Amino acid sequence: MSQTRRTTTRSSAIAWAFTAPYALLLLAVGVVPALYAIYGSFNSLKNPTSLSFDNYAAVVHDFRFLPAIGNVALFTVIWIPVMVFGTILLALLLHEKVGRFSSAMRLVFFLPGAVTGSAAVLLWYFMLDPQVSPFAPSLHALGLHTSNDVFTSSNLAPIFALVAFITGVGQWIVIMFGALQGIPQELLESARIDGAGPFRTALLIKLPLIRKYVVYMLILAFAAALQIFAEPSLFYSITKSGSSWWSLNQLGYTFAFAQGDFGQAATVSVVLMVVSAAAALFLVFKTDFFKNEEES
Amino acid sequence: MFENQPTTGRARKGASIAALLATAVLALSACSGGGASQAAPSDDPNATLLVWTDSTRQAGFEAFQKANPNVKMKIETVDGSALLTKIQLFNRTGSGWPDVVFSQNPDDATSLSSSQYNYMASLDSLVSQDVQKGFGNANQGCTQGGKLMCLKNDLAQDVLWYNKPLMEKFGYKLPTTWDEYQALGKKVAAEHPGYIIGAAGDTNVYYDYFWSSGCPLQTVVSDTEVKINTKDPKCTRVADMLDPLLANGSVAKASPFDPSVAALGKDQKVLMMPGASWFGDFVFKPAASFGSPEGVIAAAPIPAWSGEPTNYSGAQGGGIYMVSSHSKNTAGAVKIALWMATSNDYQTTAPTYPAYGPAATAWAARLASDKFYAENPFPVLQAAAGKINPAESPTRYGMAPALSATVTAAIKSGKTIASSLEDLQTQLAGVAQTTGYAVTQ
Repeated sequence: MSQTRRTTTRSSAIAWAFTAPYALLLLAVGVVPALYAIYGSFNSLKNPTSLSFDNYAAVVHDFRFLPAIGNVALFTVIWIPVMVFGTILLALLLHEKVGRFSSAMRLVFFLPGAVTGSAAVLLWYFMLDPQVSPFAPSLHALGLHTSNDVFTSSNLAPIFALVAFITGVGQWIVIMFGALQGIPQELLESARIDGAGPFRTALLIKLPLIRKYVVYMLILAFAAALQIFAEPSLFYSITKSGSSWWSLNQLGYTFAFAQGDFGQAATVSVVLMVVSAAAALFLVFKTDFFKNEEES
Repeated sequence: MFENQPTTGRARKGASIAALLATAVLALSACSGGGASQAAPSDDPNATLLVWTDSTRQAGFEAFQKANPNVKMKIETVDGSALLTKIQLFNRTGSGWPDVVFSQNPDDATSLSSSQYNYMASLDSLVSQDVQKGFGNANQGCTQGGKLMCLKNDLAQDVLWYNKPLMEKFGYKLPTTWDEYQALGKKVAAEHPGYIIGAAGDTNVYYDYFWSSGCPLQTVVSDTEVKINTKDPKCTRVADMLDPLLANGSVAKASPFDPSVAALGKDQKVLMMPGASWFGDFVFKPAASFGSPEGVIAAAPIPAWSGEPTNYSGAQGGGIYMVSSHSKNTAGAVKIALWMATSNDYQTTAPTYPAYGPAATAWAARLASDKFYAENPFPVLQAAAGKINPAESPTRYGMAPALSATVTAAIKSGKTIASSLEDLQTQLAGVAQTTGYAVTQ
C-alpha cells in the first residue's frame, strides 16, 4: 500500500516537473488575465467603486448583442461541419495510399494555412471581387459582376466559413494524418484479411480509433468559431459589408477601443469563455475523450 | 498511442481543468479595470516633445524640426485607429502620452476631451485671439464645452466635382439645387445610361447628402445630449431625392473608392460627383484611382436643398492638432501645433485645403497653377469653406459603423434608403446611448 503511494507521489512529482513550464505560462498569460477580466466584468464605468452586474445588464440589452450572437451562430453552424468532415475526409483519402503523392498533397493542403489570418483575408478579397479577381470570368458566369453582388450581408457567413476552412484545414489534416499513422498496421491488415474494403476500413476501423482527435478538434474549432474576428473586421474595413460589430469579438473590440469601456469588453469575453468552457466540459464528460480502454 | 493512456480519476479531473483553462485562454481577449491618473505638469522648455502623426503630415513636422533645430522633438507615425486605445493605456499606466497629436478623425476631439479620456489641453489662453479669428468657424468642431481644444488642419467641405468637356458635350447645365440634380440624374439614366453623377455606397452618403441637408444624426445639444431623428423631413428628403437615382443607376450603389467606380472614372463615365475638397487631388487625379487626364475636372458649388438659406455642404474629414494636458512642455507643444496649422511655410505645401484662412489664401497659388483642373477650383472651394452645415458636429460616437450597417448596406444590396432609416435610428441612438448621450428625437 505505502509502496504504491510512494510510487504515485514520485510519478506525480515528475508529472508536475514536466508540466510546470507550461503551467507557469498558463498562469501568467492565461489564468491571471482571465481572473482580471472576470473582476473587470463586474466593475462598471458607471459604478467604479463597487462590484455589480451593470456590465452584464448593459451588454445583454445592447442592440448589437443578439445580432452578433446570430451571426456567430450561423458562422459556427456552417463552418464546423465543413471543417470537421472536410478534414476527416481529406485525411482519410491521404492515408488510404501513403506515398509520395500523398505527402505532396499534404503539403498542398497545408500551404494555404501558411498565409496567416489577415493576409489570407486580403488574398480572398482579391479572389472574390469580380473587378479584380483572376477568376473574374467564373464569377461573372455566376452572375456576380461587382463586389456588391458578392459581399452581401447574407453571403458573409459562408464567405468567412470558406476563408476559415481553407486557411485552417491544412494543419488539422496534418494532425489527423498523424493520428491515422498511429493506428497499428496489424489492425488494418486483419481488417483487410476479414474482407473490409477501403471504405469500410475507413468508416469502421480508422474513424473510431481517431475519434478522440476529432473531439479535440471540435473543442478547439468551437472556441475558434466563437472568437471569429479577423475575417469580419477586415472584410468590413475593405468592403464596408457587415459591420464593426458583426461578431461578438468585434463587439468586444468596439466596447474596449471605440467606446473605451473595458468592463463591457471584459463581459463579452467572459460570456465567450463560459460558453466555450461549457461546450468543452460537455465534450470531455459526456464523451470518452479522457477515458482509457479499461474504463470505457 | 491509443491503447495506452494511463488515466486516473485525479488526472482526468486535472485534464478537464486544463481543458477548461485552455478554452479560457482562447476565449479571453480583453481585460479591464483602473482609471486615469493625472500628474500636475510643470513646464520645462527643454523637455523632449513626442509628436504623433500620420504619414501624410510627417513631412510637415520634419520641416518644423528643420526650421527649429533647438526644439527637442521625436516624431512618430502612428495608426490613427489605435489612438484612443493608446491614450487609454497611457491613462492606466500614468505615462507615455504624446505631447502633440495629429488625427485625421474630427470625432477624436470630442472623445479625447471628454472626462473619460481627459487627454487634451485647452488652447483658449495659449492661442491668440487674432489667430483664432483667422480660422473663421473652422474650429467649431474643436470647441468642446465652450473651450478651444484643438486646431483644425484642413477643411473637407463638399463641392460638386464634374467632368467639364463631358457636360458640354452632353449639353447639360450644372444643377444648383438637389431637385435639379435629381432631374439631371433621370435625364442621364435615359439619355446616357452607364454614366454616373455620384456614388453613394459608402459613408460619403452621409457627408455629401445627409449632412448637407442638415438631417439630425449628430446634432449635438450638449455634452450629454444629442438629437437623432431619421424621420425628420430633412432626412426623408434625402431618401426621396436619391432612391430614384440609385434605382435608375445614375448614382452608383458602390463606394467612390470601389474598383467598379474607379473603372467608370478611368472610362470617363463619371459625369459628376459630390465630394470633399480633397477628391480632386486624391480621387480624380491619381492613376491608381480615376486617373483623369489634364484639363477635364472642375468644381462647382454643391447644390442647395430647397428651403435652406444657403447651399450647405457636409465635410468628409478634416484633421486636427491636439496638445496633451500631460505635457511637460506645453508651450513647446503649442508652438508645434500652431506652426503646423497656421504657418504658410507648411500649409502652402499641404495636400489638403488649409483650415486657417490666411494659409488657405496662400495655398490657392498651388491650385491656380495646376494644369490638372479644367478651371481653378479654388474660388469654389473657398466659398464652400464657410458653409459646412453647422447642424452637425463631431460626437464621441463615430457615425460610420451604424451608417454602414444600415443605409450603406441597403444601398449596396439594391434596397431603398427610405427602408433603412428606421434601422439607422435604432442603431445610431443605441450607439449614442452607450457612449453616454441622452437621445432626443
